[in-house]
Amino acid sequence: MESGEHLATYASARALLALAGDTYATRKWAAGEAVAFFTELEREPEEVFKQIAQELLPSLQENEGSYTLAVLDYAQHGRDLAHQAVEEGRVWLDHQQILHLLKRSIENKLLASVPRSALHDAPVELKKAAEELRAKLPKYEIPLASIGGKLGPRGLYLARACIQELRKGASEGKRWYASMALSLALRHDRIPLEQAKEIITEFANNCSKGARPFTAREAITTLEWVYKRDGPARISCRNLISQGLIPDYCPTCPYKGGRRKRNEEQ
Amino acid sequence: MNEPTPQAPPSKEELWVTERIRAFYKAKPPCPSEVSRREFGFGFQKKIDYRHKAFNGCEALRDFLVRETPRYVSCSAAYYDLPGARPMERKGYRGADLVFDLDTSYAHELHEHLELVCPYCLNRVKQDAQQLVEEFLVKDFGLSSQEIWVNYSGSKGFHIHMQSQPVRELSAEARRQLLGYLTGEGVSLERILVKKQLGQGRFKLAGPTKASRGWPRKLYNTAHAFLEKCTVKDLTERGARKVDANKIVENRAFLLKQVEEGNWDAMPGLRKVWANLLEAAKKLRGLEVDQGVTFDLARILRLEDSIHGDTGLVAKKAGGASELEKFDPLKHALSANPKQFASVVPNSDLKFQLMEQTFELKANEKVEVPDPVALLLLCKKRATLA
Repeated sequence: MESGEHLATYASARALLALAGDTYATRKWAAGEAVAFFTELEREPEEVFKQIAQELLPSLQENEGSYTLAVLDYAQHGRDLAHQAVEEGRVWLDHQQILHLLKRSIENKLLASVPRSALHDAPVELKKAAEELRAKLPKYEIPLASIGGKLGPRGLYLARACIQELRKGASEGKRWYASMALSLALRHDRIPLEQAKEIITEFANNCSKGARPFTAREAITTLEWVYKRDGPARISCRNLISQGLIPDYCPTCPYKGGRRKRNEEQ
Repeated sequence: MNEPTPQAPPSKEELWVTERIRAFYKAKPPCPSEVSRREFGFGFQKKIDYRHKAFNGCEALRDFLVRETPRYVSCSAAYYDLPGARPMERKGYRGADLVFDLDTSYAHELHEHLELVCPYCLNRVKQDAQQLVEEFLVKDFGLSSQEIWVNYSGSKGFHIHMQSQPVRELSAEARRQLLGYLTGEGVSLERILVKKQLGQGRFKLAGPTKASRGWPRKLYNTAHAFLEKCTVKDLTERGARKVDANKIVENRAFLLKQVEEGNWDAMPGLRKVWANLLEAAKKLRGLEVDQGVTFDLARILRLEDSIHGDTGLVAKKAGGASELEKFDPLKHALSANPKQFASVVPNSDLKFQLMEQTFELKANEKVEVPDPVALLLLCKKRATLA
């Protein structure tokens, strides 16, 4: 495919997905495109590869086979900064790590958000095509068995005093965070989506109205977002406390005292 | 439609506090940079009663503060096209300052803890702020100390701010990465000390050396300093058996040399010691930061140079890291005039420090105190006006 044609295809695909408003599909698309682009990039002569790498990671420097990158650049695309060789604003990396970062930076570029004004002004034909696409995209009815694996050794999150406290609602400024924590608890406990929607709706109704009420729709959006993901569903008690959602660790909290206590228990 | 709830008329204490806050905002109105691109929130009874307010300039903000006199003023670290729009997605996010919030409680450490405002605890958090700036932001992350400034929160902590363009563009996930590094959370010994096979069934633990960087280097420094001075008791306390501890102390010079060369397995009984030292290094080097403030890009924070309604103290800009040393919040962050006095009646025995003085007040005994002291007591609801 000619490069100009490829660019046009990319732009239309991105615009269509943005208009369809399906973030899950967009992420899948970006991950696939990043792999395809990266595979082609690896076939390029070394000079071209270096030039593109430099554009994607502007602070990249190479010195006799070893690479360094500015800490802020690394934080944008990399993972696990705490285990990296960090010094004087730079992260020391090997060739393999650079390749991984390049793939991630391509994916991040593809995922960059499209301004609302651009979506608003999009041609009618594109909007219509996006409608059709939305109808064709698979619905993510996640089967219960695929959520989170088996329950942790400490049983249900929902039974805990902190989560019971969350269910009583939250004040303005804390409502989204609380809905996220409650959604994670529901997913961890493998509560079926329909039943979880009832619980989160009850939570939304319990929240303080503030300057703008927190609607059940907003809470359900958070819940669905959480249910679509299949990573670990962990809740940070410390964050709940620091957000002022619960006053302190529950008396029987297994996470009180941090990771070390958990390890000792195990 | 519900009937509006009738509100009790303000008490004379509330009126007095409001007057002091109003006088402060008339004389010294706060004004953040790029005010028209920020979202504001205000609190009268609690920290945020409502948010999503926007102002087109400092004059409008000042007028609002003088007219409404909120107890708490918060402002977004984020910049928006339409900061007053709702919901959040309509605001048009255009980046955010990088902010770290430190307010660790040191009440458990050995000192005379003063309940209202504790100079010892404040000083400890100030030291954390200095460490965050000097060791992490400048030395490790390579940020310029010129673009970092520290604000007192007005209560128990400090906020560290950065505004440069590259920092504004950091995603929430990138901010989480920086936080993970600062706190040392998730740093594991298994990733730092790597098993290397020497022969069949023989392994050694290869670890960091003087040339290492990042957290491995921090562990190296802690371990090296410990090995230089440790006694048998120190080692047994850190998990070594007594017989191994004796051997380690006897062969200290040899062991130090081995560690310097990256061999962390030169003698038996060391693995538990290393695990213990990593935890010590995390405690010593890692920082307790309120993580939500840094990665939650929609969060609104205490506005710089506004009054904190729990104390009547100003969330004052302390300056850069070098100026922080000289900054004493209990002296430099007063909002009321210390030369004016008010008569108050404390509702319990109180001991606290403010304005470089120690105050010891008796319950139900009328006393004349400087306005900043009266403001603190009334904000904390620990006294009434006489």
